[in-house]
Amino acid sequence: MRKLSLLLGLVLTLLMGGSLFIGTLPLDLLLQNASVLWELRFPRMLIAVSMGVSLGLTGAVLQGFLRNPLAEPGIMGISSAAALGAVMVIALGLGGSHLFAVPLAGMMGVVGVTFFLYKLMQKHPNPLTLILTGLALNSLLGALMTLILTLSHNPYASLEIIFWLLGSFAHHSLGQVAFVIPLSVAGWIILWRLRFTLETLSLGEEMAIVLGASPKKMYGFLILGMALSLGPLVSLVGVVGFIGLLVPHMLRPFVDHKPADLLLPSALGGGIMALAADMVVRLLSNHIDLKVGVLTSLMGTPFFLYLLLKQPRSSHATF
Amino acid sequence: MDTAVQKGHFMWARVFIFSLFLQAQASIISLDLCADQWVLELVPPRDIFAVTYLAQDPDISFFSEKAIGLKVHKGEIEELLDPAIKSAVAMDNLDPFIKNILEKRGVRIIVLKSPQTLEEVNEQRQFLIKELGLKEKDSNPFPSPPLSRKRAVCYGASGLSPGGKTLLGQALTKAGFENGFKNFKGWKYIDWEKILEADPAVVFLLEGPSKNRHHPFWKRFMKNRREVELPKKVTLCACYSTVNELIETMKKTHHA
Repeated sequence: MRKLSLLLGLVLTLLMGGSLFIGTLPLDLLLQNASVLWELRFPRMLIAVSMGVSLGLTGAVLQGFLRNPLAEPGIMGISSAAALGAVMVIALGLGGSHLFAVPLAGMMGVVGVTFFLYKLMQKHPNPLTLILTGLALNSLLGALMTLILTLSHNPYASLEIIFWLLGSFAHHSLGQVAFVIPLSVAGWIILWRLRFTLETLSLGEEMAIVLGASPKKMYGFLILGMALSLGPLVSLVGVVGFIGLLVPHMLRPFVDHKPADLLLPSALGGGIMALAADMVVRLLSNHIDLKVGVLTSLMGTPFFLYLLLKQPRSSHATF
Repeated sequence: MDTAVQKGHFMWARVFIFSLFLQAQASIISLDLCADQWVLELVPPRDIFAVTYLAQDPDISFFSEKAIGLKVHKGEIEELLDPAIKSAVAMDNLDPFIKNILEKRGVRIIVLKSPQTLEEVNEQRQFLIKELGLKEKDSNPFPSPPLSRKRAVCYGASGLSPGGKTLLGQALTKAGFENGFKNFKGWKYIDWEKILEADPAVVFLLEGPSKNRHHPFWKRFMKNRREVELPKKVTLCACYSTVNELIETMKKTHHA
């Protein structure tokens, strides 16, 4: 696990450096406008890496926690809540009122859903309740977003909503990054501390309780960690799919299917995947208009299917 | 006395028949906002059976004042089944279900292409005039451009921006600007590095106030440039009047 993490860390560091030199501006103009590096490319790189780390980490934690390989960060409805808040503000025409209007609205949505999930899981702390509630919330929030799109009289607002929902790391300021990343880091720390719980959960929930794990506490920390890791970033960037599902699957065989050992590699792998996808988007931008969320799904789906089909039958249930 | 009564009845009958005639004339319906603009531009109000409710919204409809007082509909199929409707005007994204039902009822459907260039605006105009048997109105081509070296771009806050061979790109040229995005055809997703490279003196915003304005990079970039918000009612739908108004709006900026 350590070697794998070191290798992934090295790759991520190299990509982070390299991504600063990828863009549409020719080098001579870049040298005249050095602020592009600091004000556009640097925050873009930080946001891409943070989003990837959050997706990879939350994906690994959720799959281990729910002992379900289909679990992905969007399953709890937190991303949808962030998206609904943002969509509402854009549809009302308030998206342009302030740099933080959209992310703050998204975070208000996240706070609402987190509070609801937390209260619910304190009463019924079991994985099935969490999954089914997440499904119901996703369905409800998705319907509300569609309703807003339908009611919007302004076609430009609808267009902006659709583009926002596709996800993009571009055009975020350092101020926004400074606001969002500390919250996500707090979420990462909470989720990281859950790795011991994941270890015991791999022996079964009953055994975990025998070993001293408290289900209420476990779910409380899980929801809080997920909300902090994902909520602020999704509120800023939009929905980026598939990384949280794909990366843990890709890396699981390298850590002998140990959920606790998967967290760090999965976080680093997520960062690599998100940043690499964004670099591809930038490299191709002169030829084809792509959004990072579209690219991750386009590339991720076939690869995910390949991984699934390649696995021996007996290992499908191992995670 | 009888003759006077008869005369009175006869007069009322004539008024009634005339009003029926007027009602019968109101037989053209437009099925979407852009079709509304074409119909309101070219068809006399007495011939218009109904327009969409969007046509009365001054933010998005150039002819909102003209549309007030006209019957409006929301595109519900039951609203479109009135036997008085003889012709329906729609843009090319008309729902096939509605098209099918109207055709079955004998309604003549006139489908207009969404114009992508100034030439296509003229073509669509001539097409609709011919299809509806209207009298040719003022058909001056769009004004020829003054000479200028000022560079400008049209930019959508969501990033989607028009290039050279688009209606907005051509309008920029007609207004006397050099289009900073003339090197790409059609619409394209533009990031700020591309705008920096284009180095425009004026940026025409397509989507109203955007959060971009608060971004430190954008603020610095726009320091010595002009940012002009184009009204939605002249950018959403293209008919002869909206395009002329668009060019005039751009020209005013040019001379300012």
